[in-house]
Amino acid sequence: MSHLINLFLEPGKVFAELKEKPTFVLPALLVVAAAAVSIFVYFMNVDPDWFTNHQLQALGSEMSKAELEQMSMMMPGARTSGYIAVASVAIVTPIIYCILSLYYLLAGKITGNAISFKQGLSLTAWSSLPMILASVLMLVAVFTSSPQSSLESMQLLNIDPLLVQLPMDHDWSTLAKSFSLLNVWVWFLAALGWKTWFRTGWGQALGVVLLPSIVIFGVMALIALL
Amino acid sequence: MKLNKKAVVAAVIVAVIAIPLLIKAGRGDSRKEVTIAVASEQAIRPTILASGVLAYLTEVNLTSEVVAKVREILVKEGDTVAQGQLLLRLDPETYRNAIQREEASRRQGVISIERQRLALALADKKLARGAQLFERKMVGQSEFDDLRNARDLSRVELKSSEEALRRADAVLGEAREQFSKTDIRSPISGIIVALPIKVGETAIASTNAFAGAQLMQIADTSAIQAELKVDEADIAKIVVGQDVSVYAAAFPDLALVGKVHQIALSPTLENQGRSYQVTALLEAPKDAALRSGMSARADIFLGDGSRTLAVPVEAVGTDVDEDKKITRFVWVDRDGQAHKVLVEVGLSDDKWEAIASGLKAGDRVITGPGKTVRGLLEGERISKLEEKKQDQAKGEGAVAVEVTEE
Repeated sequence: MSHLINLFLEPGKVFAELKEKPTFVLPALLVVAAAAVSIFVYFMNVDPDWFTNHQLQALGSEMSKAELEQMSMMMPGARTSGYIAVASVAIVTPIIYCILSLYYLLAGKITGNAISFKQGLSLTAWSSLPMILASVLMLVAVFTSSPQSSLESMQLLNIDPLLVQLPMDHDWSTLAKSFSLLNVWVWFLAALGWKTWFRTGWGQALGVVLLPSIVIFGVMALIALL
Repeated sequence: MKLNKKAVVAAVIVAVIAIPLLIKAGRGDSRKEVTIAVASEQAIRPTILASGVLAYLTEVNLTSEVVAKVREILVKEGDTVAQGQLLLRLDPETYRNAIQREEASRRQGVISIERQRLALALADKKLARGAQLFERKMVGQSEFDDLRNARDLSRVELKSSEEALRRADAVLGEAREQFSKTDIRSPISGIIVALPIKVGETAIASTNAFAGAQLMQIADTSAIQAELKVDEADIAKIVVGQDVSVYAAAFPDLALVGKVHQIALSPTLENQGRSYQVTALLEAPKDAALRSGMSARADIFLGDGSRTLAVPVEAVGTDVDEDKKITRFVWVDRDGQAHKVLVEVGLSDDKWEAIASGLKAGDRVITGPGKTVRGLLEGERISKLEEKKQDQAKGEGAVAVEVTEE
């Protein structure tokens, strides 16, 4: 439990202790729960008519009125979307954690550092703990904003809407709406963990940690450029 | 030291949460950006579009009434001619011969009458003598009857010859008239606008478009009209006296103003479509070289152009309910919120739609962009689209809007 606070104060010490006794359930649960709650609150708070309309406009601006009406009948409402989103977060986040852990396992083999799957999960879960802040911020934003606001505009630590506000059909919109500034903190913690555990330099640690993000965001950037 | 570290971390966490919120607060709530126009009185002139050709007011197609070779053309295209002026001579030889033949025929008729008169006089004398002899019983009844019959026959033959002479007179008159038609004269004062016939060609008496059927075209170029084809769906709205603006293809920027002068009662069939010819008299400017046959398009104005409360046409939307009942509405900006207002519309033109009820002058109506207006909800927050963004939107092919401010 003390790790939760110490991660922010003395992250190096926390990771040193985690190497011997790797845990992941608590931070993972917290991150998933915070994300699920914030998203759920958003969907409960949003104006349902406005939300449906917003979704339809994002789908197709060229559709006729009849087509749009038909589509709105088929689409889930805001409340249903909330349940779906919460379920998605609860399922997808652990899957991502597992994939990253596997990646660390592989990276450990390549770099000659012995790391178990559980340690990988521990590194992933603890380093992603600052993401709770994004969820907290989103909760505050939901309660202080109009009910006619999009989910993206509530994620205030993402480049869009924090620094830029791009239209939905803009080339860089996907990347800007996906990239959270908290990623930097997460990367730092993960790299620190790797460095602490294996006594490597910052270069290797950052290289290992950043590679997946570089691939993901690099592909987004390439799509935007092309 | 430890306290300080905790304080710094706490400050960082607070900053991570507070700074984005402050930025968001500073930026204000997101609003849909729309273009806004103010409902105001506008001159609405609904129009009907029609196409057609320009034509001189008086235009005559000269054709020959006789078949003959063209011997001499006394005018050229563009010449000004007076009514009755000799324009063209056809070869008269055939018709002159016909006159001579008929004159000879007439003379024969005259001679024949003289002969019949002499024969009648002789028959009269023979009958008188026969009557005296019959009284003295020197000739029989039969002989007397023969004499009387011979006299009556002479009379009839004389009458027949007189009628033959009259007939010969008529035929001669016809031959002379045919002869006179070899001289073609101008039926009106005007300008030779077309002269397709040449010396040596044979003029044909026909109204069809055969080569040689049309000798020349004479027009009074001082007045010009537009012969327009108006679709049958629109013809009921056209009345004589309506204002017309005609644009000739050769002068696309020159509006020739005029008024509807005549509306055809029967339609013209064209490519399975029916249209009615509407003639508009134009006030042609002196300096424009307008020519008959020029293609033209025309705006026929239905309204009188009086000013009435109106909004841009793109501001007015249409709802159709399950009973196919059509309602018209506009979105009005009230204190930064969009409100749907049902309206009754009146006349409309390319730009403005008259509002009969539902709005008052000064109401701010939302005109675009189309994509945003389609998705507006009652009470949704809106803000005015900046002019720079409007230009950008126009450049990207969005609905072009013009914003008027109070």
